[in-house]
Amino acid sequence: MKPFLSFIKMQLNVNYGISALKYRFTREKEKLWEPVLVGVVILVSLLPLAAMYIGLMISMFTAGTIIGQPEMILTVSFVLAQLMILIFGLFYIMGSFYFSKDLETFVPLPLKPYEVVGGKFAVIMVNEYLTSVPILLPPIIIYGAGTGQGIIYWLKSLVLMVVAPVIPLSIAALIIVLLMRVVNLRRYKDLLAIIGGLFAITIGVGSSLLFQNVPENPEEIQNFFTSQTRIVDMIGSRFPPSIWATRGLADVGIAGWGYFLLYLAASAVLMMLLLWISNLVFYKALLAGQEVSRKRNNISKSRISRQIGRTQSPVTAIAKREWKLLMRTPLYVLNGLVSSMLGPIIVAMMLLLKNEPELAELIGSLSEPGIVPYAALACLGLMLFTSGMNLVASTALSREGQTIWIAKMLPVSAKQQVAGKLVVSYVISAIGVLTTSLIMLIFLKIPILWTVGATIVGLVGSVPMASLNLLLDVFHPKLVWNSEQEAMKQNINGGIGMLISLLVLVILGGIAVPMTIIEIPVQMVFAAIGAVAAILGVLSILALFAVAEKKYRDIEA
Amino acid sequence: MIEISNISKSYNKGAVKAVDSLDLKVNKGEIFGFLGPNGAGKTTTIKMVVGLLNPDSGSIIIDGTDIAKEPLTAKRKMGYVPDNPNLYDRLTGMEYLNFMADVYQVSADMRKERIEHYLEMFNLKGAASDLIKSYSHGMKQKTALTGALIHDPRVWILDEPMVGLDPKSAHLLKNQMREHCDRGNTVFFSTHVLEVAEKLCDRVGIIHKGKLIAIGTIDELRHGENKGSLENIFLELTEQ
Ligand SMILES: Nc1ncnc2c1ncn2[C@@H]1O[C@H](COP(=O)(O)OP(=O)(O)OP(=O)(O)O)[C@@H](O)[C@H]1O
Ligand SMILES: [Mg+2]
Repeated sequence: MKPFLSFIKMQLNVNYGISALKYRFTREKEKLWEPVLVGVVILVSLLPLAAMYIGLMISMFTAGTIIGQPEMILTVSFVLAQLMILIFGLFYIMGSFYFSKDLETFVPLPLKPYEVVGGKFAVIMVNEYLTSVPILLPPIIIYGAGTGQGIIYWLKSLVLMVVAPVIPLSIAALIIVLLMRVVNLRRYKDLLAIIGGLFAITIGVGSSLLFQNVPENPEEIQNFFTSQTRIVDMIGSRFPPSIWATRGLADVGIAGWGYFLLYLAASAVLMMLLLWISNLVFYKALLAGQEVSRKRNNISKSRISRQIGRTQSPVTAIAKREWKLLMRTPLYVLNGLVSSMLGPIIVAMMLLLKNEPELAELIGSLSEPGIVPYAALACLGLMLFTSGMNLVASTALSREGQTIWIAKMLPVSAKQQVAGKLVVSYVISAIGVLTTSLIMLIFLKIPILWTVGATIVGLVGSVPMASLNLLLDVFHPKLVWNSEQEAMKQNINGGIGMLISLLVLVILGGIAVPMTIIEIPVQMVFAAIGAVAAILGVLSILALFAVAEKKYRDIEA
Repeated sequence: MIEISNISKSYNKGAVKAVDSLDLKVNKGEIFGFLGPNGAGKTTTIKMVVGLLNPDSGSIIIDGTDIAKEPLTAKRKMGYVPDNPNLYDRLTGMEYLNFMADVYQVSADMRKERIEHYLEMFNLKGAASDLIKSYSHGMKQKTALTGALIHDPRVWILDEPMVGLDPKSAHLLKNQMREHCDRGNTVFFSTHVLEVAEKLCDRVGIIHKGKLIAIGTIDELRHGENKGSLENIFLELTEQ
């Protein structure tokens, strides 16, 4: 048991960088305000979502009280939390059990497979609290306060919150461990990354479509929920543990304790089952190898010399390298190219799917002479939004990671290196803009001249966005990471970069809106936006070059 | 060729002094071996020489160019391979070499000649069109070496270059180092293998706890109070 516990401790330590943090603040004497500021920004930006969720829960509680089932919100929140944990868990577990780099270090250690699995499970479980606690805490407080519960309720709910991730996560882990035993998915790592990404996008789009169907004012919400109790019951019965948790909290006396213990017992049993099964099969799948395909047939001399290219300029060479590294990494393609085309494609899909006459009428009216200019202006907004929402520029230097020493060694100025990166980031943004133009032409039937005008302004407006995003990453790159996921998606620069793009959008919108209100011809508005964007673009490129010259020197590899 | 004057470097805002007022001169036509126990400061010194780390104080001049003042010119004059080269996993070996040739502006004829020469020598031809991801440690090392030497730099700076190379590749590399220096150039490399240092190096320097504690030809080191093999000298000098 001792090595197991110290392994768990080590895992938590490594994954949450506890020692690293200590080291950073005590030995390297870094400033503490940076991470704190980032934390505050994240919290503040989540506030609206939290407010919406709490509002929803309060209406559901009121609705439940009316029909005599106030505990309904507990069931719903447990179902929701467990579903989320199950879905995220599948991906976390796959990554951490089979694709993580540290596995090579653990396998030779004198640890039983179940100990390795247990340690990794503990880390993911802590991760899942980030999802489960925000989902569970508000309903538990609302119900507890609303029905005036005593101390036992609060203690029980604390325990349930702590163990909440165990059941869904064990199920997810069992699915993955057994699946990996049958098919060796490790060979299809790149494919899986794409499937995972598309899946996440589907969930995102799906849930936003779903939210469109939720009525807006509180009374209607209550009616909505009262009419849906049967659904809640039904969902609950598909996930019995959430009923046990609900009853365990809401029922008094023996029944309450019975359900409560049943829930804990179920968690324990599933956990044991997972550890037992992993002990049998985990290493077998893990050791089945992870190979990169290669040809390795001896290539003839002439082919070698054909592959040796002619001399290109350093900026071209860097841009080509960036492009290849980007396009050969599925995760980057997904968060770069795909996400930059996604906005317009979703709009197109919604237009196609929603077969409503009003919509057809609306689209028809878009091509009326009086409306066209404003429609074009709106499309320009969409273009700029799309081009600002990809992570290519805002992680461009971070993605170099451990290969940054090459960049430092190259006899190429920082200015030229970032220029190469800017070209690639800009191309990705431009693809987003052009996709929007296609949609304008094909689905919205905006006249070609207006489409071209909006596209030109959109392309100009993408320049400050891409260069400011790149500037951000050059200023504060995240060069230490273990997986491409960490480099791009778990990189704070991505989020901040989007905010910067939004800021540019707000500035440009701030010019457009007043001009439109005082009825200046839309052509003039376009010209004004284009001019301001061009000025911003030139300034931000100059700033980018200046910052790069300084920062590339400061980076130590 | 390499003039290191009084450089110091500490990590963690002064808590760890990795290199302490180091002075070192490597001459033209010389293979210089840099020895020292683990954690002595070899890698730190080398990284400062090539410009990966900024020294806290002191200056470094490569073939007449100050690395801090004219970094690009200085970088063109040297080729560097780290002890554990991380290359672009998702490029093929050939793409990497072409990239390096482009950024060093090597002409098509020259790059053809050199790439073919090194691929042949290191027996990498078969793997050149595979992704670097699929390479073994030694193959990565050899690819990094080829990339670093593609512009035929006058100064080679290698951090533990023999580690991970098979005997034949190591032998060929040693020959290359000798030839390079015989043409009036310079090689500066760190190693733990004292036999290599003894046989190959014109001069060696021993660094211990960030300070240079001995420098000279092997014979000169033998002459002082110490007698015997380089191993004995090394052990004696680095005792405290
Ligand atoms: N990134 C770093 N952060 C903090 N301290 C470091 C860092 N890199 C090296 N050090 C410290 O600097 C000192 C010198 O390390 P260096 O890597 O230069 O040694 P070395 O002579 O190359 O050793 P080896 O023979 O093991 O390669 C050591 O005390 C080491 O702990
Ligand atoms: Mg070293």
